[in-house]
Amino acid sequence: MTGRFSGKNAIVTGAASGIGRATAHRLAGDGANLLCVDRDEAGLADLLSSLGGSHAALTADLSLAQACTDVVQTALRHWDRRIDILVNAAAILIRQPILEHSRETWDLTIDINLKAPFRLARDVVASMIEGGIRGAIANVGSIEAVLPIAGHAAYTASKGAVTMLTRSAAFETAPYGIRVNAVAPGATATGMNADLRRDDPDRWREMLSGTPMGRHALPEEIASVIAFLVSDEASYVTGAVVTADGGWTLH
Amino acid sequence: MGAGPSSDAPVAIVTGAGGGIGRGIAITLAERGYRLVVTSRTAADLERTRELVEEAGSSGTVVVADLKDPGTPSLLLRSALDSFGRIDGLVNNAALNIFVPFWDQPDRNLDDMIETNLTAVFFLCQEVASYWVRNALTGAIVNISSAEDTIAYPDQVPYASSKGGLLSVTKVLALELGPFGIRVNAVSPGSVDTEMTPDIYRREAPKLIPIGRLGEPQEIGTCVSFLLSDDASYVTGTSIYADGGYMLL
Repeated sequence: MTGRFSGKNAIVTGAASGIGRATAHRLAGDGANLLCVDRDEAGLADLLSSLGGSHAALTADLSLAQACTDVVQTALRHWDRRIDILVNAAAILIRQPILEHSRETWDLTIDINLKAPFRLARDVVASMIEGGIRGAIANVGSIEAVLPIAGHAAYTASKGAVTMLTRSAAFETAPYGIRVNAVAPGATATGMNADLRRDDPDRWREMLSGTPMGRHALPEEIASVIAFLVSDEASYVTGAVVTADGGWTLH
Repeated sequence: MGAGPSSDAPVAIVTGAGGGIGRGIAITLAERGYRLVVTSRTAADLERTRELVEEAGSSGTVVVADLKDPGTPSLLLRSALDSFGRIDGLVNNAALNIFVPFWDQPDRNLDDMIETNLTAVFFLCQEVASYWVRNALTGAIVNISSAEDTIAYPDQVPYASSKGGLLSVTKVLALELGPFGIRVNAVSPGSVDTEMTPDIYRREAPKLIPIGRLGEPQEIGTCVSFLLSDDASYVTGTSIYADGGYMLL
């Protein structure tokens, strides 16, 4: 297959749905070889059949450190030690008011949204440096790191951390030709907010009223930013957090 | 020294108060009439901080505790209430930074830094804020972040991540606790002169910092004091960068 990612090996986490799934389609459509990672085994099987080609999938619970290690080791074995691209799209959002926030919910959110991207990026960077591969990593942050939403404390903390994970990892890896960037989406229609859109459409509309474009993003509109960031088109872009929010943070 | 603080003087908890910036904050707050609960993991360091608090004309209670222990938030709150009968301010200053290249940082370092610099802060905020809300009281919280919540330095990815998270969680705390009359802000210091500061920082400071020198711990203390005070009554969810202009270069 030809395309701007032709011959590139890419890991995409959270690939079974939402932004991760759209990113998998976008990268595969431009020629990348994928290792699709998610905890949703059926969702991964469905993704692989919709992608066609010879992509790989791995069912993994990224809240576990060992699972992160397994993802990178599997990719290195599968691709003869060459990983070119990592997209950290897996994330969870559990709504809980601050005064009632449980430790369990906090830890699970931090483990999946922050520690997993850290661990995966760390191990992928190590392999890139070892192999002299000038690769690219994209993280998914959130505009909520800057404009928080009540009830999203752990998610907000994790996404603020992802912003600085992106910037500080970019700083350290730049001398090796490795780029690390992030996209900060606004309201995007994914499984993360499917319940809200279904059960409380007024609340969702109220959120969108704060978006100058007056609509939510489709996952594909975030995936296209990620695809740009991990492509050679963005060869001088590193440590950037690209806002894709329909104008939410303008006011 | 006078007769010490009055029994209705305000009370603040300062974590990481055994030295450096935390001790500077404690002394500054003592000078401005706060009674203090000072905490860290090392008893001898805290005793020295308490002496300095008393020399500043106030009184202090020492609590030796590890912020990674889930029982610490309630222990600190109880100490404030048992010792002084009230709590008005919380200053989350304790932090851990372990310098290792990104690709060599072991999980243990990541876990320790996220726990100390982010998770423990959140749950101490929750403990104190819950007390205020339950009793229809108000108060103010200041989290000590870092210029590294915005700019990158080498070998500190977990630390920078924790501080980026801390800056964001400060905002969501401010958002959710605002309706209860609780303000939450941050101070983000640049390079501050403490017992841990390498000499090279002092030598290089004139080149790297527009003000031409490192900060003094009590120059962080004055920012904290402002944010805790009613002078900052309309200030919430933000951070003061106290860095001598470092981020301008």
